[in-house]
Amino acid sequence: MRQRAFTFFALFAAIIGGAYLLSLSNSENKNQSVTSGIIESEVAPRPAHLEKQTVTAPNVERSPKYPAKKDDPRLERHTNGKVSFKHAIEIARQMHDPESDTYTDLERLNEAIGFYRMVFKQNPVAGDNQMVISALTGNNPENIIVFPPDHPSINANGELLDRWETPYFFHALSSQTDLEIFSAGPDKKFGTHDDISFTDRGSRPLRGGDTTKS
Amino acid sequence: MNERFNIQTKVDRRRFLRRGGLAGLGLGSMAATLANLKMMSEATASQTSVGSDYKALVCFFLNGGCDTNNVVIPIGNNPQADNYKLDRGVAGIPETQADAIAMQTQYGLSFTPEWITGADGGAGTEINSPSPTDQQFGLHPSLKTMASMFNQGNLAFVTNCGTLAEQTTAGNYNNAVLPIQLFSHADQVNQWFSSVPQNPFVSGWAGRIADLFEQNNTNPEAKTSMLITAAGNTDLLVSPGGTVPQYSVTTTGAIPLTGYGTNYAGALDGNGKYDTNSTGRRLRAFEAIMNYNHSHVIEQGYNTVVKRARGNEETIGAAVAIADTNSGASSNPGPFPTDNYLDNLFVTTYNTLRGTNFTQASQLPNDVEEMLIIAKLITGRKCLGNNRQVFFMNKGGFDNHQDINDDLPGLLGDVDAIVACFDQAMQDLAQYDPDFDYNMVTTFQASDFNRTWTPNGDDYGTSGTDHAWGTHTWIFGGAVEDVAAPSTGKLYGFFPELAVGGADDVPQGNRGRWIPTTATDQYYARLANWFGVSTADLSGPQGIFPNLDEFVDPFNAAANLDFIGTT
Repeated sequence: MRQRAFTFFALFAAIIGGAYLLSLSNSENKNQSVTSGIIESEVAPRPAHLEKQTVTAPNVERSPKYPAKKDDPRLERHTNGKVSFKHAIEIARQMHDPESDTYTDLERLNEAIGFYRMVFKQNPVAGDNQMVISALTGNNPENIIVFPPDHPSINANGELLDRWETPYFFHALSSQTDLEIFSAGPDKKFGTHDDISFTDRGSRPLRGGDTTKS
Repeated sequence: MNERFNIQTKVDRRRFLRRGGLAGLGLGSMAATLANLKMMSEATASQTSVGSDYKALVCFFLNGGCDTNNVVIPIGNNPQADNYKLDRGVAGIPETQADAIAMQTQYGLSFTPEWITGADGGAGTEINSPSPTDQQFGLHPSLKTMASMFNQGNLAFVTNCGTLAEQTTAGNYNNAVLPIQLFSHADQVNQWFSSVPQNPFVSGWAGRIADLFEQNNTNPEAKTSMLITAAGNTDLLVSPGGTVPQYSVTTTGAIPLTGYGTNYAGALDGNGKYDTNSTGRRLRAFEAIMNYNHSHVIEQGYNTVVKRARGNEETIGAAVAIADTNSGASSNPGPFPTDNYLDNLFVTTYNTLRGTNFTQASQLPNDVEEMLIIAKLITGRKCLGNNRQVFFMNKGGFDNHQDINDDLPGLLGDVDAIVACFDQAMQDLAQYDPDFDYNMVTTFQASDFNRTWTPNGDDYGTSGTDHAWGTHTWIFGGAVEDVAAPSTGKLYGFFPELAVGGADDVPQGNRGRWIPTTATDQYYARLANWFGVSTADLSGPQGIFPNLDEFVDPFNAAANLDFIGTT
């Protein structure tokens, strides 16, 4: 009897212990996964003196489904028929925050574009900066606004400027991927080493070049 | 055993052989015929009678969006020449030596840029006064051979051509059905290949032609796919539902299975029998497994792909062997007087035009080699067994947002050399092969899009141009010469008004993006018709080009597209 009780107890302890170890193992795996993700994002070639600031990733769940209900509190309806995505506007207004940096600006801009993509299932047609900003500020078939038309960094030509007052460059690779967005950096010239980019493929030089063998 | 391997007995052998080119499969042991490629080529080469009806289309794709505003350039008395000088700014090509010196001074350059016109010692790339405008144009200084070919009448340009769902102008731009994601690389490439730009990609127009020809039994003796790419899989060659798979070759020919040594030397002996070593046994077992038929579609599909690859390997190897062998050889005699004739032709021509000192074909740039293998496969066309064949090659590097002045001259220099190599190869083949005519092969160029008329900066070293739309594309070959030679050179389609905010500019932005005045449908329809597609099969919902009826009939003089004859 005592032996059976001992066996039962040992088995019970083994199950509990195994479950605990398994949970620890899963927890470690989760931590590794998260850590791995952070490490990957940190690998992006940003200058060491610029600390990356975390911004929330585009989140479809918290965004209104479109077309949205009339009284959806996440939307602001304007008298001219345009509809603002409040959260997108809020994010866009944080661009060029003096406490922030250009990488964060690019991430915020990309997030605003993410709201556009959520509705239209594609990027805005990106002939140039002016076309992209026009689409983001409401000149689109659904009249949605994901970027404030009165943003202080939009110039008289309707172009969105970076911190050094050079228009951002939008590089349209595919409707299926993020737009590549470039800031010319402090020297205000594209194609130089201080260019700053946001792309889901990681940074790459903004140039073509001879593909032939050297 | 059958249950275990899920084997089924029915095989559509006829279709399999035609699409896959597996000539020896039905005899059981495929490997017995695979050991010695030269031996195989003898057997294979004698099996088809592809002859006077042969035609090939070669797509020369310029990846990244070539700035063709710097390819066909208004000069001299052309009323648009002043616009060019004014608007193109730092990205412009000087017309005369004086212009080049002025540019040198203006931008503080330590060198004099090349200029266009030949009268004052320039690169000499003025092209003949073309109709209908009868205005002067020059080609980029790097395009010397192409200028010469244009002036001789075996190269033509179709100007301001691009993706269109319906006829679009600056007036109806805001209401027209536009291509999806204009100015985006991947989308525009897809649409150049599908020619159905208002819809997501389903198939390429060459793939649709292959599907039509498959139904019409146009290639009854086919031993390999009608669709061959030298640059990896391409959407141009995607047939509806994959009915005609494209076959990918490397720059040296077929892609063999890895792990069995060069030409399977590690697994097969000189007589094509399996070696008794472990590698030989492994190949034998692998091929035996691949010969099973399965009811499971994925298992069967896998076996089919592998067997098709082995069959194509045999066929492609035979074609290349013939192209590389001199006409006096006792085994696999080819048409040319010396061994490796095409290799030497390409190396010599490229060296001459590009100033290199290569000694063998393997040293050539990869895209030049792509065109070389296409030339070889055309030479060995009887082994492939197709009366109609489409080839694809690709040259990248044209996305010149920055450094256009550094990059474009070299890129176009290579383009010019590739054209020169291939055109000479076809002319020589016509000379040495009595069954081949120069007008059997037509090469056409395509690219993502043209680039903006105005540059994106004023710094000579870092400026470039950005994504735009309508572009100038070119075609060459004997069939073009047949039509164009009497007038020696002509710009087809309609040259755009080169002005920001002008009649052909997209009414958004201020950079000069030409709305195409000729649709890809019209351009391709002429090529397809020459290739053998009847006019009845070209248009309509089930036609090769469903949008074609939206535009002026490409066979009507009003379309100005008589750059090639009709079928």
